[in-house]
Amino acid sequence: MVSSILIFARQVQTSFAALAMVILICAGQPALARMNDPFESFNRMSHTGNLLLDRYIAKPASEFYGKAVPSEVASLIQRMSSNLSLPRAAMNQFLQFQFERGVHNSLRFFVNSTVGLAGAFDVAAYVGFYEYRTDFGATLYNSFGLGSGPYIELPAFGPSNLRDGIGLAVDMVFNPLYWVVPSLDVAGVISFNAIAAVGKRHANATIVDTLFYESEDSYAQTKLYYTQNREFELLGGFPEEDYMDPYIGTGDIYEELFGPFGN
Amino acid sequence: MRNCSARSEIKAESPNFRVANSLTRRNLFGLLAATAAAVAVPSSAAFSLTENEAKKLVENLISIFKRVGQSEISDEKFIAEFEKALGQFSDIPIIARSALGRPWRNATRQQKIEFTLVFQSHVARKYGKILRKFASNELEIRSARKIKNFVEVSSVVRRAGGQPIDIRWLVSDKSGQTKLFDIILEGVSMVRAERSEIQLMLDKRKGDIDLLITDLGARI
Repeated sequence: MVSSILIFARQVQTSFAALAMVILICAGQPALARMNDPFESFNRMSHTGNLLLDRYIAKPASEFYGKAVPSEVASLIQRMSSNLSLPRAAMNQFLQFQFERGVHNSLRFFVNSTVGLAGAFDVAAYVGFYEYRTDFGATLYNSFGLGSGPYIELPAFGPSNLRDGIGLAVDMVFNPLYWVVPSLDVAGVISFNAIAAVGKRHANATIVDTLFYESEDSYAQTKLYYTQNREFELLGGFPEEDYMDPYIGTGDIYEELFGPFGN
Repeated sequence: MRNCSARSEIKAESPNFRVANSLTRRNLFGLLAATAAAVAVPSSAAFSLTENEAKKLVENLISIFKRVGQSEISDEKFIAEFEKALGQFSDIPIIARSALGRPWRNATRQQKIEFTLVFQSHVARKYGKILRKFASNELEIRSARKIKNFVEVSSVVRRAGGQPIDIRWLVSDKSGQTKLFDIILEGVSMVRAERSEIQLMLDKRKGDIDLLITDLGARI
């Protein structure tokens, strides 16, 4: 008995230690995800695996999906899947003290799940209630000030970082969808979302194909796209000093190209 | 990666330079015409671009973009049209210089011109394909604000069943003409992405700009 309590205490201790370490690593990072990449060799391995997964499973599946499923049905599935993510977004918005958005998404979920027939139709959008996406990674950033930590490319889930990877895990374990609609079956929702993900791969085929198969270094481009996009998402835009002005620095480019005017 | 270097070796041998050369001839006049006016104006002109002027430029570009993007033409034709619009509305030479980075300084004028032209087609192809699906009537300009020496025009694509898509257009008159110099799609800057891509390409080719031009030309 005593020994099991001791073991439990030790487990708690180690998990606290792990959590503390995560916070330390993340906190040392700037709020912006200007990323160094200490796990690059792992990440590149993981990226190679993800490319294989895409090339042999996701891409062919999405191409089949594109042919087999009429586009109206595909967007219907997309909307239903996106609707299922609303309770989670709303919960995170409440955790981020963004009550307005939380209420907004809750209303969206309620209206679209009922009038919109389980989210098949985005009725709320017609009255200007568009989606505000968020996740637990954003909560860790907004409410706890946690920096991104190092960049991580997760196997199967793709580009992320330490903070957002943890966020993803938390979001999957504590999804309020099942508290709100207890009749939903976890396995059913997951397989439905998997189908929707295949549809999403099809809808975003040009951008994914460009990134994965037409870049010089698909790992580097994926990381850059993800990092910039994620920063932008979390900050709702970039601070002024983050903008590059390509006009600053060197001489007159037109003179360089065409010679001095008059020649 | 191994494939890549093997491919480029073959290309260095093959008469692929003709690709770049014919491109040069095809596009040089357009580029020259588009920039002739710019050359005449001293580029050190004081910053005077207003938000409204920048908005107007982006409005014009977007209206062409929508009209062409929504028509039934093939992706190939769309890309050609998009490239024309880019040549007219955007400052490709400055983006090309920024993408090449430091090596630009040591490049010959011939290399600079060839790279600029190949780069223009590369950008048109890559971003034309990506952006075409946003060429809907739901794409609308929201606001404009001054940042540093230029203006950022914000636009949004609202759509049912998903989060609105944020597209920003950076406009500057530093060249003497009002021109677009970056497109930021959901936070991803075209200029930054291309800087990374082009500089990686150049690194892998050990700084050989001619080889870079050939290989980039072959992708088009």
